[in-house]
Amino acid sequence: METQQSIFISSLKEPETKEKAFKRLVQEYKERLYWHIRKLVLDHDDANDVVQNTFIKIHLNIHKFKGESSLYTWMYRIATNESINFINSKSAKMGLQNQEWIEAKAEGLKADSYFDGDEATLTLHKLIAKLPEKQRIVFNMKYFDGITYESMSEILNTSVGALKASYHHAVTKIKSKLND
Amino acid sequence: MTDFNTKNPFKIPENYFKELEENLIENIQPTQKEHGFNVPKYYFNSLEETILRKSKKTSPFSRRKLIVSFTTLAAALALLFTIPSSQNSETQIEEQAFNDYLESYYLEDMNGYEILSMLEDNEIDPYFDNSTKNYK
Repeated sequence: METQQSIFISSLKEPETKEKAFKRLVQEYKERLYWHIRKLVLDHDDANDVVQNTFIKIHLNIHKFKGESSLYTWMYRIATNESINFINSKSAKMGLQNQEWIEAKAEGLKADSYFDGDEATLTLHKLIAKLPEKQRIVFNMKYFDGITYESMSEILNTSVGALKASYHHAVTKIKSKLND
Repeated sequence: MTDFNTKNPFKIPENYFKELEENLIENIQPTQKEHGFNVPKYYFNSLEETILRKSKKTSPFSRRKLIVSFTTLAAALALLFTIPSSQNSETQIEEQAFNDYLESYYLEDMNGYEILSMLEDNEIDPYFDNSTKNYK
């Protein structure tokens, strides 16, 4: 018997129903994917570019989705990869390392009109920006969004054990910096 | 048997079900920590419209059509500009080579009269008319 998800995926693949189903998909996931991306790229305009590219990629590649993971994790994987590619491309254009670029973005948050966090939140973002890429992604997904290690494992194609270790290292580094 | 009033005697506060739905949705969201980011007002409405508009433009069918159109246009432009320009440049090179040859080897030892005598009458007149106009 077909599940609700497989029926929905079929409607995303059928030319006659694709547009209507895609509209529903955008309505359902636009905010979740945007916030996931925003925490990775930090800037609203950048997040706007990446979330649009993410949905365009989803639209173009939905016929390749085999249903081996849930649609949600497949889309999160695309959003994460798009964010990483975006950071790689932007930092390369400016002749910076990825981490240098992110740290500069975090430094600029105080003056960002679309950031209204308090001093503690600002400090936290600056410390997150100093983490290695993988730890930064894992920390954001776990700390802010409460995504389970199992879902994260599917999204990032990494074992649960490695993700737990990444999160543990990230938390230890942030705590130690906060105590300095 | 006594007829009981079948009307529902219970009442609920105004907007109860609307608020219930909102409260339930709020409570089943995963525990999210404050991240401090915000977005422009009505951003998500315009985002949806933008994505749907772009997705229509970039559907595999229209992309394929676009690629074919671009390829056709590029080929037409290439034909338009390369063929005549190569013909032109070939003609120019030939003319230049001929002029160089004439100047270097053929006309070098001739005087003005000899050169003039090689030209046909109809080729001489316009030059002659022009050159004499100033003296009238």
